[in-house]
Amino acid sequence: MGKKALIVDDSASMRQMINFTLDEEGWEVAEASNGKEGLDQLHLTHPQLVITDIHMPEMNGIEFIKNVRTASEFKFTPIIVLTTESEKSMQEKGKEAGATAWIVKPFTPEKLKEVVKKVCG
Amino acid sequence: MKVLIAHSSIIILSALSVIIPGTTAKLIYITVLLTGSFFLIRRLLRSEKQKIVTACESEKARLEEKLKRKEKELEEKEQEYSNIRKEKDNQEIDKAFKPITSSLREKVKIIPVLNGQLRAVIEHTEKAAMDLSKSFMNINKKAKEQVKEVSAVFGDLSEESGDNNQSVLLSMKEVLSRIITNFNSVTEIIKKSQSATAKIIERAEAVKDIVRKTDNIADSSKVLAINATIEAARAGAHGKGFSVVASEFRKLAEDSESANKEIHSIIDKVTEETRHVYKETEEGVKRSNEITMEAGEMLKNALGQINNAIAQARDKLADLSRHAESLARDISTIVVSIQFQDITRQRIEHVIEPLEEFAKELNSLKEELENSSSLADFASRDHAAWLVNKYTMETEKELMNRTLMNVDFCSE
Repeated sequence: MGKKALIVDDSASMRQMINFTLDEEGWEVAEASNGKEGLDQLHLTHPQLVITDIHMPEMNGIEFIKNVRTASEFKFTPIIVLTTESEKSMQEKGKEAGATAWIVKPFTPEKLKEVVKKVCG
Repeated sequence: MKVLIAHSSIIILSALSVIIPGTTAKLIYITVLLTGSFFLIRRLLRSEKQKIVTACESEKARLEEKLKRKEKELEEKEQEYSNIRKEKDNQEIDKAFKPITSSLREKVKIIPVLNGQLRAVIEHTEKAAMDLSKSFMNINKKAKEQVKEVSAVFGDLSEESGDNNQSVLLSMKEVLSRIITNFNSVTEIIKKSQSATAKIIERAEAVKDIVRKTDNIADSSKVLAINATIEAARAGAHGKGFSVVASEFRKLAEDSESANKEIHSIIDKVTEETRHVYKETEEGVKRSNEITMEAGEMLKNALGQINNAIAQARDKLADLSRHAESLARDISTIVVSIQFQDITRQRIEHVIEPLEEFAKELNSLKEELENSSSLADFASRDHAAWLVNKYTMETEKELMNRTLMNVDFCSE
């Protein structure tokens, strides 16, 4: 069975770019445009990796991560935050919520691949 | 009254002291009188003091009450003054802003239009970014696939693959080497054939010697047959039978001579043909040697060319890989650049959101202005702090702080 990843970002172009990058590494990718949709996709696809933005409508990234961590199945699933948010305090909030890694946009595909390899062992 | 009674008592008692006879009695009487007067006066003083204190406290309470009333009145006056001032200010503000209220009404309508335009820009740039990223990612993917395919083809042509199958070029090299070996083998076979032909010629010469000997035998037999015929004729009737034998013997010698001639002729022919074959074989060996050498040289050149072609192809492949890597790096940079669309989108949204709130506020302000209310709430708002909470990016905050250093728009 292939590796599955979930991308949660309100920007379609960002989702597409992340999708391409993960596809090159052999990931099967599911997409969602906000935290709420992200949770639906999470329980539908059971991914081994989650990549999320922070500032999104409906449900923001921090709330989404908190919700993901409440499910025992996803307690240890790597969650990479990919955002324009560079505030340290927000990064701390993300860490407290359960984020595994934090990448500030813009990112290079190589950087994303490197972090994915790191968090997925 | 009590003081008057006290004073009257003292005067009466003093007058009595004049009446009382005797000095000692007078002294005792005066002492008692003074002591009594002292206690009486002290009591009277205490009573008076209490009255004064009570009166003072009452006066103080009255004055405090009055002060409070005055303070309240002052406060009310101040409030009234403030209201009058506020109303006056409002009237002045209203007067000042009235001319722009109608203009404001129109301008407020523009903000949603501007926001709509900005959202359309976001939508279009997002679509363009998606198209661009899709195209570049596809180019990157195709370049990588191309390098992979060329490498596979090159591997098939020039290198040994892992599954024990030889590459085409290596097989060709082996086949060509075998051809040279086969050429050498053919030359060897021809040489052996030449050697065998030489032996045949040698043997033919030996057979010719033998036939020459049988020629002599046939000649001698012929002479012998003639002699026997002569001797049979001399013997007359007795030699008749012997004459027949001699005749047959002569015939046999003649046949033998004829056969020998035929054998000579055949051997000569065979020898000649064998010599011819030998000569041709010699030519063949020579030619075969030449061809083998020539082919060897040609194959050596061909192998050299193949090796050169492989080396060139390997260099080209390395170039192709380098170009693909360079392309991937360029595309990586482009991917980063395309992400600025998302960053720009968020920054525009950070402009749109405050603009929408401004529009709401301006709408309510417009209504307030129309209802002759105040601008004070809007004017007193700390817009800088409000914007800081909106912004999420360091660059946005830096730009705002840089702008604020030059323009204090909060106080304007």
